[in-house]
Amino acid sequence: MVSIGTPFVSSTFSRATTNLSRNVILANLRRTQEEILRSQEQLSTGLRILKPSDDPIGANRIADFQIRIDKSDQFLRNIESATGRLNISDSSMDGVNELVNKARTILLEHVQSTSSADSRRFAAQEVEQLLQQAVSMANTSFDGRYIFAGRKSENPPLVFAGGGVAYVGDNNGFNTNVSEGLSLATNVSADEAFGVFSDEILGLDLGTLQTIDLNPAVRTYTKVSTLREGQGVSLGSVSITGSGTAVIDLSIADNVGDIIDLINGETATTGITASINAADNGFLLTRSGGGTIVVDEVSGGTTASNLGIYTGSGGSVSPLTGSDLNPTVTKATQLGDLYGGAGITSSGITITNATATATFTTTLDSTIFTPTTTVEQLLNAINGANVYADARINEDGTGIDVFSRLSGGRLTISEATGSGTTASELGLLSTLGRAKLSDLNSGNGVDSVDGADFRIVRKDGTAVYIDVDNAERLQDVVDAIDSDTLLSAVLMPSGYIQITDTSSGTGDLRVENFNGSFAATNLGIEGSTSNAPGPITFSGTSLTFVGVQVEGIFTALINLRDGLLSNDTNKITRSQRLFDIAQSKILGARSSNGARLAGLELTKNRLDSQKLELSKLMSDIRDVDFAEAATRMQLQMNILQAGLATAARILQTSILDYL
Amino acid sequence: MVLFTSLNTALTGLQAQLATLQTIGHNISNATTPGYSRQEVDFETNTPNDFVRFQIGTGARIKQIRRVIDMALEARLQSASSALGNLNVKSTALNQLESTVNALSGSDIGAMLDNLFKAMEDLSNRPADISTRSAVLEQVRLLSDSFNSLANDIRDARDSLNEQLGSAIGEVNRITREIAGLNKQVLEAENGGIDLGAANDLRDRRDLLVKQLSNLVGIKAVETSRGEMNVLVGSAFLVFGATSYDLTTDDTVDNGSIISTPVFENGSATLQVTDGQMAGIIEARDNILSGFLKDFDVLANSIIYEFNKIHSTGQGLQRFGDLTSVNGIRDTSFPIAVAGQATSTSVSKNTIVDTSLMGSAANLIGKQVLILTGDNILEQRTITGFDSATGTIIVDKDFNTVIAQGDRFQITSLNFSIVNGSFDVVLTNEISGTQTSYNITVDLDKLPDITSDTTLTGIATQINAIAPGVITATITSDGKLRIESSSGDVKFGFANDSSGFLAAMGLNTLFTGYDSSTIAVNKLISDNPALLAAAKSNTAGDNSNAIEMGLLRNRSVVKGQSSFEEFYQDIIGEVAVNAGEFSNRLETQQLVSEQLENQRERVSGVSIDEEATKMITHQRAFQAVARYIAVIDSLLDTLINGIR
Repeated sequence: MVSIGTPFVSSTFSRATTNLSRNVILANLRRTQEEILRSQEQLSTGLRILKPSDDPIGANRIADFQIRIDKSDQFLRNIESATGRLNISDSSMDGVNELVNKARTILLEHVQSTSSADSRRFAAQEVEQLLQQAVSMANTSFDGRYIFAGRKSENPPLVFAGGGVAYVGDNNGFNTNVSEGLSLATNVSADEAFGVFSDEILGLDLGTLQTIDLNPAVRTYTKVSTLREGQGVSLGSVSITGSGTAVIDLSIADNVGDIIDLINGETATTGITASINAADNGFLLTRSGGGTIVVDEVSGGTTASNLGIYTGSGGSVSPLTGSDLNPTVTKATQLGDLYGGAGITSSGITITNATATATFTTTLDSTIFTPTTTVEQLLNAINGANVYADARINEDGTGIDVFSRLSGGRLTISEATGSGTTASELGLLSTLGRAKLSDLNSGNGVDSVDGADFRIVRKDGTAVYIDVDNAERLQDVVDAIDSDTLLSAVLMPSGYIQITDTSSGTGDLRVENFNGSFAATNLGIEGSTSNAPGPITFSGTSLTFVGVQVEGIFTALINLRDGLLSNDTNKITRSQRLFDIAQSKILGARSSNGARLAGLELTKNRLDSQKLELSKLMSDIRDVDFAEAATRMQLQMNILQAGLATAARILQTSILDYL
Repeated sequence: MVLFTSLNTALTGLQAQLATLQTIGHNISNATTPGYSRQEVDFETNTPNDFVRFQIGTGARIKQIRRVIDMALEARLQSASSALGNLNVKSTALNQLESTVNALSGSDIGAMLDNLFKAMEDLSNRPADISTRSAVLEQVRLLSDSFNSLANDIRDARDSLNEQLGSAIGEVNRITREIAGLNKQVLEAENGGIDLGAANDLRDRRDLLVKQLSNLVGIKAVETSRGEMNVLVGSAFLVFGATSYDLTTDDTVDNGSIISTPVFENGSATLQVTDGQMAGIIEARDNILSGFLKDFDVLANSIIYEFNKIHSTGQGLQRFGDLTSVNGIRDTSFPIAVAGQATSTSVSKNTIVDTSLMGSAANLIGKQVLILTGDNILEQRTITGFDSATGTIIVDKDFNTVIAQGDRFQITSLNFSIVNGSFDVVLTNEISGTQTSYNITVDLDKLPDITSDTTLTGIATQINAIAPGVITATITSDGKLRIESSSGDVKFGFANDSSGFLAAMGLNTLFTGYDSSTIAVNKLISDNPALLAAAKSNTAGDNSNAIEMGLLRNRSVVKGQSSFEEFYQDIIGEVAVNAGEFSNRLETQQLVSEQLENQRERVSGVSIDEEATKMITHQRAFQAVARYIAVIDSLLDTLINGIR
């Protein structure tokens, strides 16, 4: 204990013996000297707390502060590294943006038909240079890591392949811990900045063109964490009553089979057996001999309802069919489990990715498409097939999407055999209906102006105006025409639009461009059918589509280059749209990057001032107050001196001197 | 006749004064002798001559020479001495522990943990950099080393306390023998108790010995009616009359350390040590130091397990072609782990009751059981009996305290908990870079019976089914799992372990060991930093596993309540509070003892001035009597020589 008022030994009784005086004097001297020693130690180390027991609470707080200061230091280091990386990302993007500006100039110069084939060829070389520079900038590295490569940061993310540019990095964020419990992505993704993945081919239901639901069956090996569209179930206990009641703790269950086993472990008590229902999407509870089954929650839990077997206290008559558990598609899902256990046909799919000068293709056949093949194996097969395709399970876990990672290429997926249906079952088949308007007509797309682009004049003289801006896919245009009550439109299997007029009137059925747009022509439906009694039909010309392309800067440059090389004015013109897309991407990426950098700066400042505050607080507790300690020690020295002096006097006095 | 009587009278006076002067001289000589009680001479008048109508006194005689001593005070001094001895030992032990732990120094376990997390952060910024990886492994090693040396220091402290106990017992025996001897001498000197209290110096010596004894062990000293001092410890005699009973130690070995229990050598009675140095030693050794060592063991175990759980499911820059688990399972055809929870508090210290085991056909005898929660956490025992009618397990050695209701345990020879779940074996085609996962079930739901759960053999069978001929799993002779790839193009790793199997077996783990003495860095990884699993895929720049390990810092994983650093601070705080508390109590007790000592001094101490003053009085008295003798002498002379 450090205190001035240390208890001293008193002599209150009247008899003072020789030893007593000596003991008391010595004890007090010893105590004072100990105090002095302690003060000296504090002064020479500058610390008030020399060991934790001096002030346990204070010591605890010091340790706490120290940890927090250390953590702040580390976060500041991380932020510094991340800031450097993001800054370099920004200047790279800036550089690429400059290249885009230059490319635009070239484009505007040579898009006129007055430009000769030769000058265009020269311009193409310039564009090639720009392309090389753009790739080089996107392959920037910082601190030994390629900054636009996602997690595959040990290798350059962009490589030239077949006349195009392939992205071989990945799409994952590179995270950094920037403050307590906060881990942020501190890289700019190449797709965000430059556009390196196509945004199709999504797994779609080819009839409705909505996201496909591959609806995997519930099996005993289905993991609980994948149920309820991936929300999982937080497992507690359930109470099951049949002929008897059992409270069953399901918390150790890892998969659906475990739950079944746990319920069946109590069959002797409850008379109830669990299994998977006939639809293969949930549980089935059967009570032997029939009767009521009651499945109730325990302590206000939600386990029973989340598992789709809750009946409430009223119960339900056996057999109890549980509701759909909606497991997500995972890497472990088997192809045979899809579509509620019906699986998919094994004929296979063919994937083709073609540039102007090279074609990459692969066919995955029935050796891959077996019922026991896992989704992971399928994804691996597609991703490892050297067609520069990237296959992933979609975000909701309902289907598979395939993207192209080859700028300058066009990706299509078709059936492996003429009568096969695998691609369409997976929702990946490239069909005309799902094609984007921009992919029609060898990529020339469909013209569009502000407002309506074409009109259909019915027999009764009414004109129906269609604006193609509202349509994403060809099917959308067909649906727009079809939505008129007296017109019906269908996309025929051989690839043309057929319009049927059921109105009554004397006019012809005419489809005309409108407002200066060439949309009707592009859609192959410019023309007319003469009036006739009853419904009359107009058939358009067949349309073609090309595969999906990556809409980004590299594609833009490649298309411009190729257009210039082949003296193709249309192609040159088309590349303008891509430059627009590319530039707005870079702009967007730079601004969100800027926001990220600003956020990091704020965090850094906050951490800095926090560190300062903590250091100060820590010092207050840990460091000695020199003035106070020195004064205290002086006082103790005085006490010591007085003690020694008086001790000497007392010990010397004896009656023997006087006898 | 009367004159000679007078001479006699004078003589008695002379003798009395002389004896008093001698006593005064004795007092003065022994003024500084420890344990000396000043002696005073009590005079009384001699038996008078009876002359019927009157009595004439015949002088003085010494009634007794007595010690000035307060026996009640002596008893209080003894108990103060016991308390002092007890607190002294404990305070010293805790101060030593505090310096061993060395908190606030910047080089203690807390600092090592901090450095490890810092290195982990650096790893998440540069996952593929070899020097950053080496730095992480170095920190793992340093952390392990600081745990090891702490555990060693605590063990050393316990060992030296044990030795101290041995020498204390030797000292106790020496003293009790001397007390017994003195009892005999006092009895003889006081003529079998007739002259009770006469053997002053012997008694002083005996009292001093009793006080010394009380410092060593808490005793009660009782003087019999014959003047013998009997000494009891609890209700057993250490000294009875002229017989002393020796103590010795009963030694057991625990984890390489000798634990001595003091007992009577002749086994006549049970020894209850409640105070004194011996009590302090036993409590410091068995409760205080062991308690803190257990806390550090829990922390080490948690660090090892939690880091390993994450590391084992990650991938390094290389994957494995041949990997053997660090730990082994004894019985490879018995389920890997059988989870249990005590359904009621045990009555005796060597049983565990879990009614969910009732009716099980499993043969549990000879298996190991590991306690996972409660006061006996981390304790391992061997099962010697199992009553399947009641679900009672009997173990070979008592637990420190009884198993309480709700305590979780696991029947396993591993040191970590494994639960029902599964893990993935990930095969990588090193040429194409493609990774494929295969799920291995770890079925530990005890359904339909314990015997249906997954065994180590079952795991090996499942792994062998993945890629027959390419991936082979075997079990070594010491129960370890070995996985090999026969193809140089196919390597393996792991992912997604919901069971804890990989961490418990030691497959791709960062730490090895299971407590403070055994914690170490996995040599396989430290020899090849490329194996440090910073990623969760075979992408070199993937830092997701490093990030996850870094996030461990904030998770409450120790006993489900505290983070590593919080738990460590709690231990340090407790050491500090205890050290401070015992330090204060010791200081207080020292004051109390000093006060009592001084009180004794006041009562029994020699004051030289006092004795000198007394000396003058008695000197004068002696002179007066001598003068009287001279007068009687002259009277006699007159009488004898005057009659012719």
